[in-house]
Amino acid sequence: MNKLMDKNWIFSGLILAIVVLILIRITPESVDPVVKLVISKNRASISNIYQPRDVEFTKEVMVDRLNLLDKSRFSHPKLGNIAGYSDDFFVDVQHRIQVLKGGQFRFMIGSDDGFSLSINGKKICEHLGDRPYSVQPCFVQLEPGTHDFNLSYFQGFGNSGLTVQYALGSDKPRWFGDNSSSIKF
Amino acid sequence: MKTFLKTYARFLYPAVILVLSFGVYFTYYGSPQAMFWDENYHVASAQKHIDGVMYMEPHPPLGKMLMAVGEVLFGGNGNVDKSKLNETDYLNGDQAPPQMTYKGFRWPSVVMMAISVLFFYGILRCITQREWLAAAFTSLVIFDNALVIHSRAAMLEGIQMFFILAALYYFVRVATDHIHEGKKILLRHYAILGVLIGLSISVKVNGMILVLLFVMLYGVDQWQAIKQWQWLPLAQRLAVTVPSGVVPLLLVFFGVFYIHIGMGSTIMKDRTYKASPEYLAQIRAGNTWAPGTFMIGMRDNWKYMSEYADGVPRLDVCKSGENGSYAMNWPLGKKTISYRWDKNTVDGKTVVKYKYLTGNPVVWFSVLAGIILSSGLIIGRFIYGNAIKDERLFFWICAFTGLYLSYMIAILQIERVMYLYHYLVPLVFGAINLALIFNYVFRDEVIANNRHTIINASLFALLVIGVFAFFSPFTYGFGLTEDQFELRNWFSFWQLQVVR
Repeated sequence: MNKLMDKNWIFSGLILAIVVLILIRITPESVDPVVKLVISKNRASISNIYQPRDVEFTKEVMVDRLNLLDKSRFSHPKLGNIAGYSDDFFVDVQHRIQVLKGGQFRFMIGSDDGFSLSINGKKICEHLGDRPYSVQPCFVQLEPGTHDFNLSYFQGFGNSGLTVQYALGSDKPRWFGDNSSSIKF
Repeated sequence: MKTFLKTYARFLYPAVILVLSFGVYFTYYGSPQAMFWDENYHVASAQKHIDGVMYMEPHPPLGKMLMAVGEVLFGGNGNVDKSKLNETDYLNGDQAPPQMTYKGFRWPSVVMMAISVLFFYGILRCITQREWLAAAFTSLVIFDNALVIHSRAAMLEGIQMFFILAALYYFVRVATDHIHEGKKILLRHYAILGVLIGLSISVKVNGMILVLLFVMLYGVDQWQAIKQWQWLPLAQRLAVTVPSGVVPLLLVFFGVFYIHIGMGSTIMKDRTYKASPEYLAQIRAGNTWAPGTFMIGMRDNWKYMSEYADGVPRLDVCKSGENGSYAMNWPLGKKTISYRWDKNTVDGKTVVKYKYLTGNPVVWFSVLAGIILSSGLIIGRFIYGNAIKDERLFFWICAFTGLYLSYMIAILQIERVMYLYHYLVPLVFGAINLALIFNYVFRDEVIANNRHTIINASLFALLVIGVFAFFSPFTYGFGLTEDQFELRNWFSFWQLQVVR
C-alpha cells in the first residue's frame, strides 16, 4: 500500500500508462479474414465497370465484412485505406456463400462509383458509371446450398466507397461477411 | 568507472548532449534541396546582404545577416548565378537556380539551435544543481519534432532561440551565483544581459518578452531592499540599472540596423520599398555608412515594418488552406502546418515524403501539464496561503511560468494571423518550468539522488526520444504510406492532412 502511494511509483505508473496508451494507438488493427478482395490499380482512368482493364498492380486483401466506406473514402473502419490508392482501381470479390435458409434475398450494394453483381453467373444488378455514394437494392431467390457471389467495383476519381449488406425477406440487414441464420460465409 | 563518471560528470553530460543535439539537428540538414515555408523569403533577403542590395523586411535583419554569413562560408554555390534572388522578395521554386543548395543559408539556424541546447542544460544545471536532472529534461528541446524541423531550415526561430536561451542562461547564472555564493550583481551583468536581449530582438521582435529578465534580475539583486520596502535605495539602484541594461540593448538593435543600412548600397531596378527620396539619394550617392543616412534609413525601415505588419491579414479559419491558428490552441499542437510534400508511387504503393510542423506530443502535453501544475502551485501560495517547501525553487517556477503566461497574453493581443511555430518560444519556457516542477514535486528525492527518481527521469527522457523517433518521418521527410500516416494522426484537432 505504501508503495502505491509513493510519488516515485505513481510517476512510474503514469509513464507506463502513457506507454501502453501509445502502443495501443500505434498498433495496426487486424480483423478476421473472411472475404478476399482483389484490388487492381488501373493505368488509365476508369469511367465504366466494363471498360477494358489495363492493370498496373494487383494485390489481395482479406477483410471481415464488406463495409468499406469511411469518411467518404474507400476505407475500412479499422484497417484504413486497404487499397492504398485513391483513384482508378477495380475491386473484385469472388466468394462462395452457403445459404442455410432459402427464400428471397435482398443485397444492398452501396457504391461510389460503379459496380456489377452476379450470383451463380447470372447478373443481378449493376451501376455502370460514376456516381456519388448510393445504395441500390438487388433481389434474388436463393435455395439452400452453395452459391457463387461475384462482385466487381471500380473507383474513378474523387470520393469512393463500397458497402454490401444482405437480408432474407424482411429480416434486419447484416453486413456481407457476418454469418446469420440464413447465410454462412 | 563510477568514480570516473562522478569526477567528469560536469564535462561528460554536456559532451553527450552536444553530440546528440548535432546528430538530431545537423544530419542531412541540406535536405530537401528545395525551399519551404518562409525560406522563400529569407534566402532572397540573405542573398541581398551578400550582394549589397538594399531591401526592407518585416523582421529585423540579424537573422538574414547570419544566413548570409553561412552562405558565404559554407554555401557551396560559388558557380551558381544567384542574381535572380536580388530581383524578388519571395523566391519561387521555379525561379531558384536548380543546382543551388541551401546548406549555407540553413547553417546558422541549424548550428546555433544545436548549440543552444547546452544553454538549456546549463539553466537547469544552475537551478537544480543536478546534472542527471538537467540532462534528462534537456531531451525536451533536443527531441521535439517542431523545434527540429523548424530549426533545420533557413528560418529565424533557430537563430533567435540561441540568443533567447543564451540570455536566459546568463540571467540564471548571474542570479544563482548571487543566491548560492553571494556574488554581487553588477551593472555589467545588466549590460551583458541587455546585449543578449538586443541580439534576440534583432532577429525577431517577439524577443521583447525577455525584457522581463531585467525586472527579475533587479528583483534578485534588490530582494532584501524590496522585502523591507527601502524605496530610496531601490529608486537609486533603478536609476542606474535601467540605463545599464537598456542602453546596450538599444545599441545592439540599432547597431544591427546600422550595418544593414550601410551594406545596402545598391538599389535593384525599381525595388525601392517605399523608401523616401532622401534615403534613395544617399544610397545612389554611396553614403550608406554615413550617420545621417542611418537616421533616414532607420526611419524608413521602421515605417516599412509598421506598414507591413498592418497589412498582414487576420486569421480566417473559414479560408481554404488557412495555415494560421489561434494561440489558445497551440499548447495542444493545433494546428499543424504542411511545409511541403513529395508524392511517389513505389511498387504500386503511394508513398509521400512529408515535411510537417508537428510537435512531439509527449513534450507539448507535458509542458502544458507543467504549466497547469505550476499555476496551481502559485495560486495555492498566493490565493490560499498554502505553505511552500522550497522558496528558491518556487520563485524560479514563478519566473518561468510568468514568462510563459506573459508571452501567451502578449500574443493574444496581436490581431494578425499567427502560426504554430510562434509557440516555440513559450514551449521552451514551459520545458524549463516542467523540469523545475519535477524538481519541486520530488525535491527530497532529487537532493538525495534517489535511484528511483533518477530512473523515472531517464524513463521520461526515453519516452520523449521514442515518440520523437515515431514522428520523425514528418520531421525529416521519410516516406509514409497512407496507413503509416494515419498511425501518426493521433488527434483530429492537429488537422493533419494525408496526401492521396
